[in-house]
Amino acid sequence: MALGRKDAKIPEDSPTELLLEKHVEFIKKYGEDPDDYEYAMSDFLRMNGLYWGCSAMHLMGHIDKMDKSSVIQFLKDCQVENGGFRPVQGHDPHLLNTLSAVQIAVIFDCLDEIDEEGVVKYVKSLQTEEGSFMGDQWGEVDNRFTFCAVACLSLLGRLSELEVDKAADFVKSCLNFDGGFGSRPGAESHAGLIYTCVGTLAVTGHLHYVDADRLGWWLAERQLDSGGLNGRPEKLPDVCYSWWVLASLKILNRIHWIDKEKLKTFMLACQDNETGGFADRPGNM
Amino acid sequence: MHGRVKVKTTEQQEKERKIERTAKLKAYRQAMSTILSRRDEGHKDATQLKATAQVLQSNPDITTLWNIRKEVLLDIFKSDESASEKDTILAKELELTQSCLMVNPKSYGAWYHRTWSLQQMVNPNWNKELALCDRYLKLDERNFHCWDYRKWVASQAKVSCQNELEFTMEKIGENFSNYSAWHYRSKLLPILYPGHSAQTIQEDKVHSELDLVQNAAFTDPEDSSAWFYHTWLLGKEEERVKIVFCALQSDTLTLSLTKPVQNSQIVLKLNGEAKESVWTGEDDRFNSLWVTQISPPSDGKIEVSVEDQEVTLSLEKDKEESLVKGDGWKSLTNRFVNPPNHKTEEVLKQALENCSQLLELEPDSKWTLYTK
Repeated sequence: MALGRKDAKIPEDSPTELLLEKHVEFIKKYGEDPDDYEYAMSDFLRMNGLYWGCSAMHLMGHIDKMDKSSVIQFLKDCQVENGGFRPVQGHDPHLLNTLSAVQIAVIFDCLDEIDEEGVVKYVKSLQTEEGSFMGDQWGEVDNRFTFCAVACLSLLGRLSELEVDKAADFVKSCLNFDGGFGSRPGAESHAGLIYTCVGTLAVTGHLHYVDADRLGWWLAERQLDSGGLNGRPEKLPDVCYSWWVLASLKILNRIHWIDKEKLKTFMLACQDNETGGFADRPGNM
Repeated sequence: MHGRVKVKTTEQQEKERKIERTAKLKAYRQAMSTILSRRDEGHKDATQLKATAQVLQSNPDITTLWNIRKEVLLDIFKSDESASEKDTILAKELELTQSCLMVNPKSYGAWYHRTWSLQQMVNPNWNKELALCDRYLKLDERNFHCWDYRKWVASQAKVSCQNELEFTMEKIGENFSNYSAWHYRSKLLPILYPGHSAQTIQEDKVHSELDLVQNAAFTDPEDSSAWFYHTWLLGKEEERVKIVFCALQSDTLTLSLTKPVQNSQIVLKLNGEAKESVWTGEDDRFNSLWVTQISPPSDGKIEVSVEDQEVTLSLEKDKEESLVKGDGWKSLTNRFVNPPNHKTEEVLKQALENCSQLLELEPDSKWTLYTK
């Protein structure tokens, strides 16, 4: 009984080469028109988007194409009194944006332009008694925030300001039967959350909490026939998991457990050869 | 931004789309500008609630708007609202999150606001919440936001683990390929039927669970959910740390363990007296090999313990070296630390037999091959 397995199809005419120049153009153009619908409507994600854009430009060797001084001004404008960062002016600070801001500052080597002490104070204030982290003063707890906190302070060289062992123990309490991790104790394993948890354990020196073979296998099984990776069993592949899954496998020293060539084929097929940029799967936006 | 197909449009369609979008953007910016400036002016009123609700209905992921709502509500509650008024007001929040979740059932902001609202309520209706979870899980049985929310509701409403276990059975009955349901079972079983150590399950329950999951796995051998669960049931339990050996060479004491521990977990006694000692290792904090310098008594004993494991080195006159093996020594030489008992062995043999039979029918079944 062969049921249709969830997977993407790679169309015949999909790109097979890396269209690097097109991607550089795509990012450079993005934000040039402040009235572009997609850009304007996602302003509440601006700080995160800026990080992903700058990071990609940096990897492609074109960080010089970003306007450094306006990026720095944007960072300064978005940091608030309590040390946290907003996603964009007018919106509230949150740990997610705070990590992105620090990451951007590191890329541009301008940490001195932001209030580092403020960041340390803000991040510290969000750790709970049990070691987890809230995203902001309103109290939502999630391992995405655990990672944001430890990565942020680690980048600033101030990790010791946090209750690091407690944070690691909280992550440990989120360990599941399949070797993976979820957002909170009891939550299902998910590649994105696995990245945040494995990342947290790596940064805090607790990687031995992970059953690397078991988790490595689960992660390797994210690869489907199309070559793409999904985020958890019986889900469609999505190019973003190339990052979450591969980064986790790299930390666990098992990146070779993924078929590199097949993944490459899938990823290249996700490119948009008209506009540049990548879609989550071939044929999508 | 995921899951959107790229559709080719005509020039006319593009034109119309642009007009529509320009109008939408204008409305959005106007609404946000008004909301944020009124907030700056200190307004915490019904107007703010109405305005934020309107934007959230199509943009449920704008965290700041949910924050503004919480601020307004807390301000309203400061005045002496009677209990029923508070809950009536909060019921509106539940309605709002519900319509937002229709737009984006995976909106972190909407789910959290719902959670927060229920926490504020005096008399929350937990049954209603469970029914809501049922509805959402019918739409998408893998929505982890909903599963997580359900678990929280169940804990607040003091729903029994047994009840929850039955719920997972229902879900699995509807569709064997329900990883989320199997996952929930993996959390409930050790609570309902605890085994001999933390996180383990009673043996007979493991066997009946194996039966259940094998039915699922063999019904659709290409579906991975049941196989992952199956593998876990068959596999080893997490072992506690064990001492491999402890050795003394003149004044150097070496401790070897099966897992990394911190030096603070090591207890050293010389002839029955606890001794503070400085243990060193490759890593600052966690090592499976630790070393310390001591002045060994000429005879008597050295006791070293880590958690519930203990070894004793008996010292003899004129003997400079001494080594004692711990329980962990066996795990280096045996593949299976705890060989299965007869009953479990029978079950494992049957599982193996089932796999072999299935492979005869479907020789390419990847999962069956792995499991075998």
